[in-house]
Amino acid sequence: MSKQYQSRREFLKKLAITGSVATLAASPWIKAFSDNTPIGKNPSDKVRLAVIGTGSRGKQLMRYLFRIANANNIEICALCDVYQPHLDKAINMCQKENIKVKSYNNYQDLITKEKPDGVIIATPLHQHAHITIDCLKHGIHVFCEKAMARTLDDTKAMYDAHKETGKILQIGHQRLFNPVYLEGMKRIHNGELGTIGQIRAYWHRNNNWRRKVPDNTVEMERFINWRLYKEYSAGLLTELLSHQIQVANWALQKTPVSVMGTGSIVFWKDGREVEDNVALIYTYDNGVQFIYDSMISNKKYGLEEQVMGHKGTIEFEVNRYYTETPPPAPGILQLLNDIESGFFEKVNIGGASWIPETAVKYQGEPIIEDTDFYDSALQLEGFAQYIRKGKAPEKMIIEGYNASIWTLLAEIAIDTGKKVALPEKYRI
Amino acid sequence: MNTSLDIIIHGVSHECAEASASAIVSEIKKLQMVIDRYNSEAETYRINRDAQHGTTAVSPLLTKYILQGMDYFRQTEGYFNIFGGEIYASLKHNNNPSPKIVGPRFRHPEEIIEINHNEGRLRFLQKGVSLDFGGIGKGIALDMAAEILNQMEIPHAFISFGGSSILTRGRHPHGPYWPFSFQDNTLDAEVWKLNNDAISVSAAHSGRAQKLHIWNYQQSQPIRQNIMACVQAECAADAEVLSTSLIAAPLDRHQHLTQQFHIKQWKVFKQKINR
Repeated sequence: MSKQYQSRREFLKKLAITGSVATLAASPWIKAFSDNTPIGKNPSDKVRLAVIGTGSRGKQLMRYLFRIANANNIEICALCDVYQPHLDKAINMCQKENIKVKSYNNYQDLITKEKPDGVIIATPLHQHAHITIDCLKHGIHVFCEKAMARTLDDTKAMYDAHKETGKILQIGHQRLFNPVYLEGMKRIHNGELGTIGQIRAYWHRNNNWRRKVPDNTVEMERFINWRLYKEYSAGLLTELLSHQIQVANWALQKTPVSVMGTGSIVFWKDGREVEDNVALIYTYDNGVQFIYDSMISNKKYGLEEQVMGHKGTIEFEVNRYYTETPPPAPGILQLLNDIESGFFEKVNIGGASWIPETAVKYQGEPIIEDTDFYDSALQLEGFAQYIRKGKAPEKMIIEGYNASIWTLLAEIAIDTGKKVALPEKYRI
Repeated sequence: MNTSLDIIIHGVSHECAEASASAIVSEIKKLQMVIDRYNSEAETYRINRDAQHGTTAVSPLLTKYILQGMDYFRQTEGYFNIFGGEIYASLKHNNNPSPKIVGPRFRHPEEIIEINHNEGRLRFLQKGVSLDFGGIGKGIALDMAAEILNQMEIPHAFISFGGSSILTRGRHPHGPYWPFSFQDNTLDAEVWKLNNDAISVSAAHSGRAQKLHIWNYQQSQPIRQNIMACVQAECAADAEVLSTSLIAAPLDRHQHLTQQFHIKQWKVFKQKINR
């Protein structure tokens, strides 16, 4: 984390600049997050969090927690992982921060003995559901990394457990807390891009996505490289697409009516089961398409979400907004401003350009100027804030649920080669 | 035209303004497909490629613009020249082009180009002849725009090609004319009053890279002086041609050249160079 971390306080200042009223209306989780009630420092105000799953993502979330813990009166009370090397590294990280934590190899022991206010679940995907449901049923609020679960039924069961218990279930879609996305979504929802025709997204990497296996047993290979095996993961879909279908749904304020797609293993023929390239088309009820592809044998195009309306385009990942009618030259802008303001002033426009000049390529403009935010940290600050209030806006879990469901439906579309719609039993 | 086009229209309905602007843009795109020397699908590109080697077909429209260019050549004593495209192309890459590139040498355009009007064909008669409408294209386009505005009965308009070629109709919404001035703040006191007018601004140095782009055929070298010329006329093509010629010609020819055109006013300034 080379950038200076900007906390919720700076985030709220940024929102004020970028038009808070509309943003907050469209994003109720931010409205709740932005409640500026001072956070008490006494023990009764402390939020006790435990981390279940201390692999790479779990440790990254812990680093964010270290940054925000003091200002948000958060205590990291316990860690849990079934894999001792990961747990040892996480304990070591806490010791370096002078944080005393209890450690567990069994999450059930953790939740019964520690009774934390909330847990952060960053285990492999196929473990999310039962841990989440157990925690919720023990009265513990849950922050669970995306995607929600390995199966549609598990995903629905997690949502149902949240509804039954009334406990918070927040899914790790950090873009929901990213100021670039919040401002961009405000513009989309205000109609600044006009009618959205298509959303395109892609996520391209060039690596084998493998982690080093300490011994060469099949069990450890599947344990460490769980992302590569269908029993535990849907690969690119659950790891990457799930973020971007959430962005598409958020932009359109809808969920799709169908998805079709294809996928295959083209390059990494190393025994893995999940595809190394996928292509999907989601359709919404107004005819808009979300066109998606992902691959891990070429990284030239990186990742992006492109929202294309008849008046403009947003590219979220590079923080750019492009109008379909690029702004006029400065002199013309002055003239237009004068006309609108009722002024009759000279127009300083005359200048030379005799031969054909190379056309100035329109580079668009930033959606917001200052992007020094860690959205993953902001979402954890949000989680603590919601725990303190005892509830989180329902819209946030609905965003996570729909993203996960439509991610898994994409897998069915690829596997069957058919156009897939949402089975009624998964509609919420 | 490889520059921005801004159109401001007032005094009519939004729909009428939109329709007029669309018609202007559409006509300019068609014109571009005739006179663009860099687009391989444009007629001028094809003529430049083929006419060195023998006769080739030419459209009536391009014939008209070539004849117009020949007339302007005569009217400006050769300071305005649409036949030296290779020189202009080389100047785009280097302010000191190779001495081998001198352009066609001629006193009368008929010495270098043969046009058969009846058959709609032409051929170049000298090596190095290459059509380049860069110095007049925006003027032709603005004259076409003026016709469209008249046909559509648009009373008030301000059209700008990148600040260097401007056409106005009627007046500013809050004043009796369009008050035109210069980007260069040393010319801040200059305000030209425009109604049904065209303006052309030319300078010896062009663009951010300050490229030289106007050629003195008599001395076979680019114009290097830091000067800028501005002409106000009713005809946009006239304004374009004359402003370029005023840069290319020595100062003692300016008065004579301006007398060859129907213009309202002209001025030659020292050009501010941004480095």
